Amino acid sequence: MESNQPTNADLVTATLAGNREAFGQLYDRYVRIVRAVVAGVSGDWPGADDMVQETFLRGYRNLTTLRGADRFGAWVVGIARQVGRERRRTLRRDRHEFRDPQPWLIESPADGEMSVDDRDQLELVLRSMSQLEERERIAIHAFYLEQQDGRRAADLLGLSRSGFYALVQRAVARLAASVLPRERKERTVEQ
Amino acid sequence: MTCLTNEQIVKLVVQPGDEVALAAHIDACDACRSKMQEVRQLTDRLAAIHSEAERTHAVARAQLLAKISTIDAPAKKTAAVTWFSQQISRLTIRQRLAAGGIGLTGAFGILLLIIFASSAERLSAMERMAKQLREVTSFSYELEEISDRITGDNRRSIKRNDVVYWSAPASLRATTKIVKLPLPPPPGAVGEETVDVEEIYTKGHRGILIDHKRRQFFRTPEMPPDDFDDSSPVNWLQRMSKGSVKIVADLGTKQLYGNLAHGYVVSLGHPDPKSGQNAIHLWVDTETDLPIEYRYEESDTSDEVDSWKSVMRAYNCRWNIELDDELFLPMEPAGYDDTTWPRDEKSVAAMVDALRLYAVLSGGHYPRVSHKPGVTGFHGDEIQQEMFRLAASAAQSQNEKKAAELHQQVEQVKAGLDLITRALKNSYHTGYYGMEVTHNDNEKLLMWWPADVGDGYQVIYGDLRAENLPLAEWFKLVPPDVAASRTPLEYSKPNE
Repeated sequence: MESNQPTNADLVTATLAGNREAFGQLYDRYVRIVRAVVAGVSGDWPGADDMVQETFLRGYRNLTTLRGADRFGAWVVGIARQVGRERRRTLRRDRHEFRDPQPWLIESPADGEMSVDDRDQLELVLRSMSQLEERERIAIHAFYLEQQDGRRAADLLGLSRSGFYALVQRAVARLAASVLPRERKERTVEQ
Repeated sequence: MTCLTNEQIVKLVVQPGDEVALAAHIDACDACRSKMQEVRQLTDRLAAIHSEAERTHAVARAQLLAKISTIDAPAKKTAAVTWFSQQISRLTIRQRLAAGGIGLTGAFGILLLIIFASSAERLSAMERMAKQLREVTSFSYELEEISDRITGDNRRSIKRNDVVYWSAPASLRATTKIVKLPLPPPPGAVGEETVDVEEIYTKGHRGILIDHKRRQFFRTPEMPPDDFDDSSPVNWLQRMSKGSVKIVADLGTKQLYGNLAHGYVVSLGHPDPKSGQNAIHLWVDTETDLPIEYRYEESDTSDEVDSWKSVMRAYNCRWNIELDDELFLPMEPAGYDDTTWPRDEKSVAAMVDALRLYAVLSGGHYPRVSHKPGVTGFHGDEIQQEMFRLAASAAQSQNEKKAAELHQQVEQVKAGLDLITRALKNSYHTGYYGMEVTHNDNEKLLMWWPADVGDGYQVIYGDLRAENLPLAEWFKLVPPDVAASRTPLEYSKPNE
């Protein structure tokens, strides 16, 4: 049975014809993987919102340079990598005190206040993630942003499903090795 | 069945269902079940962090569509501009440094773009400038960058000043000073000087970085001529090709630093219409066709908490000037501490010997002194005295000959202790964990410092194995807070 969903090529063509909502649909399809890539490459999760916007804006402006409209996904992921690299360089500049480093920010969930402990725990996870290898960070972000749909995340990143899962598992194991001993230590101190 | 490894437990959490035997073990083993619970809590937290992004999806989507509704429909971009962007974005920190200062690189990158991309009516003038620049044998310039954070609790102004001299084929001298001031500045405030460094390189010699603020210096590898050429303004010009950067306005002519200069406002076609790269002011000497000054401003005032503005100006550009060779001699300043880290196997072996003897005398641990950025407790003289005391104590149950041998061994490790002391003086770029790590910790780092080449670190483990670690491996072994606050080595390692 044929899908009623427009293809990427349909949406790119419609965008070039002036249909901005078509570009919105491309955004819906790829925003999660773009977020995973910019955050993973830059190591800057709090700055991901801006980087996602920048990625899609660049994509929109340069849409006519896309060869093969059906390749929009891989193409926009390439832009995301570039935006992430630029952000990483900016962060390195920050450490020279040209600009102050951006703190890790965890926003409170809308449905209730987050406790200080919860906030600290999430910040510890994010800080520890920044120490993983770039591809490990991307894999974790992609896996959880795609709501733990490993097959889709693997496809978007151009990896085999087994390879992607192996990468996610290794990344989570390393993250656990960094985070859990600290938490145990803190619990011991509190007791 | 033995207990599960961490990797097996993670697999059960991340990809449940495939491992029946492992799951059965979990049911029967309290310890593994507890570990699995911890991992599950961690993955729940990861899911929570990422679910936040989903909540803002609709708003972010609307913002994006609103933005694109205000800009022109997608337009064909010239290949030349794309090429420009790629060239500039791929410059590494090392290349920036080699070009003569990190901040300056951006300015010269802009200059390159300007030279690169001439509109038809300016083509001949730009070609003349390119030709002149290709034949440059030396230059100097000054750079001023003022970066203000104008909102939030941490409002401040940072002012950077560089002076750079370069001479063919590969000599460089650059000074960088950075002063920080709160905003608004208190009456009479002159600011806090946070950086005052000087780098000197010349072909055929190891370079030197001098930190005047801390009164320290360290020797660096020679600046590789090939790399230097690849990133110098002269080399950039060799990579020129046609472009289409838009000249926004003609500023006419005026006297500048005693010369008649012609000015242009140039747009580089940056995607962000507010980018300072779309309004660069370039002034070119009408007689020599070489640039005298260029400046641009950037700002982001959209964020109530984190708004900033920055002005960068490269000025007093002088070309083909007489520069004394002595300017580029990497002389060690008198009265400054030499914190050059060890770079040869013999030195590392001497350090290991000293640490090993200490461990033997102390019953398995190493000098328990603190070491953190800004201050080190490792002082070779004091530690040797402590070793003499430990040796004397150990010798009480030995004969006189054995006691003399121990004393002599402690005397012999002085060189190793001094090498450690010298390396750790550079406390921002080194690590030492004698408080926590013992000889039994064969997978923990006892000490590390930057390797002489490449991006990695020379390390000594708790069991005194020594090796060169790539950066990614080093990241895994140091505490996360150390890795996160890794002191940048751009000032110290041109080979990075």
